[in-house]
Amino acid sequence: MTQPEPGTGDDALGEAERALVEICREVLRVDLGPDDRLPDLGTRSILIIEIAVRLQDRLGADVPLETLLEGRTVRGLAEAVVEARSEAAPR
Amino acid sequence: MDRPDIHLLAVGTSLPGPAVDNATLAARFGLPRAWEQWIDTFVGTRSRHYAIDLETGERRYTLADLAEAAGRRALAAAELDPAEVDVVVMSTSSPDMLMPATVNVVADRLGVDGVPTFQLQSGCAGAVQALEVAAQMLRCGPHRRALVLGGDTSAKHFDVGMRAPDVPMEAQVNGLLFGDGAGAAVLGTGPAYGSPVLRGVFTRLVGRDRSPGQTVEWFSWGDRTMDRPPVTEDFKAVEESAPRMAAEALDEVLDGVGWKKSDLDYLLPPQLSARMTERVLEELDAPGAEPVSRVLEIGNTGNAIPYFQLEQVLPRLADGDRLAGVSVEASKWIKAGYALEMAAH
Repeated sequence: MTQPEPGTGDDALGEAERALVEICREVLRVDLGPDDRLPDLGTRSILIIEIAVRLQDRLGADVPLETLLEGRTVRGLAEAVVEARSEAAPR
Repeated sequence: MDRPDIHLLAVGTSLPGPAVDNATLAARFGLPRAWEQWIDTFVGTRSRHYAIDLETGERRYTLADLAEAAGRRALAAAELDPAEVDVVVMSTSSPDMLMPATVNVVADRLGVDGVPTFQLQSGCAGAVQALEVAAQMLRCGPHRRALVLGGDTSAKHFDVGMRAPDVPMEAQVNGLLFGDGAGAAVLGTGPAYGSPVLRGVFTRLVGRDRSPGQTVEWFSWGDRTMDRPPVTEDFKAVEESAPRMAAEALDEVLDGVGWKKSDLDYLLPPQLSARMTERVLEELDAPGAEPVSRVLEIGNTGNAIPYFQLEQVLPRLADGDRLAGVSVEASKWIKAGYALEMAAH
């Protein structure tokens, strides 16, 4: 499956936010808004990796573990996703 | 009637192919950095060996191949001709086929014939079960030499076409926790200078009214379209129960031989993962005993585990040294343990 090219600016952030909300619904079974923090899963939770794998698969975003565990809001994580995607994009 | 001493005369092991590290697995299955970081931190196991080719899925070694190699090494180290083997016992949770049993394929290849053979279908306590059965056969019959074998391969559980997002995370973690491998030991009665004596061995099912911590299905024509996952693992249940069960197993084996923890020179703990081994060792609380652990490099080799540990420690044993090994099986919950002592004569 080819991954969508990362967009620019608000498009990219919005896309990342929407993907995160969907992923959190699937993996964590919670409906989150952009300003909601991810529930505290505990650092050892395997669910964090479920999220990471889906971010990689759907958006080509390789977000480091420590970023996922920082307690960011959905929007904050979306920013990390956008950054990770732009790092991965071919130049 | 005097019960003869049972000596562990030799051990042999076999690992397929190269060590496969976490980075290689992550790259092969397109997994993100976070996955690798999580594994490094919370699982700890660094590498393992596979009987299949990770790229193609081709099975390069069968369990029979690995067990044969291990058996050959053990027989050679014991300077024992296959014709002198009186009984063969093998344990595994992953036989190549249900019929013929892998133990009989291996016996055939090694040139062992005309003797009783037993295959134990078992998880991580299997090697100790095999030890117990072989020891009893040596004690109760005219038998003098036993070949004991154990091993597992994950070949049947591996779908090299799998896409990480489609596979339950527990199954992925399983895939890197476990490693393929086989081991063998030669046991004998009668004087055998310079080899450790099996002072005690026990296994005990403690699974009444408990849900399994692991399940593994087998399929045939009738249920090929089965919807249930072929393998499940309840890591939480394992983490909650395994350390305590291991501690109980150590207490039981030590009580059985009249030793205290402080008598132990070496301790061979369960090997689910590097992190779990650390936690179990804390629970076992035998600081004077040196732990013998291979899990970091070869993963959880199931029915082969004690052979790999014994291989490491046997050359180091001095007269009077005492060691205890402990296993916990998290399917229907089995505690097991054994004690060896390097007798001076």
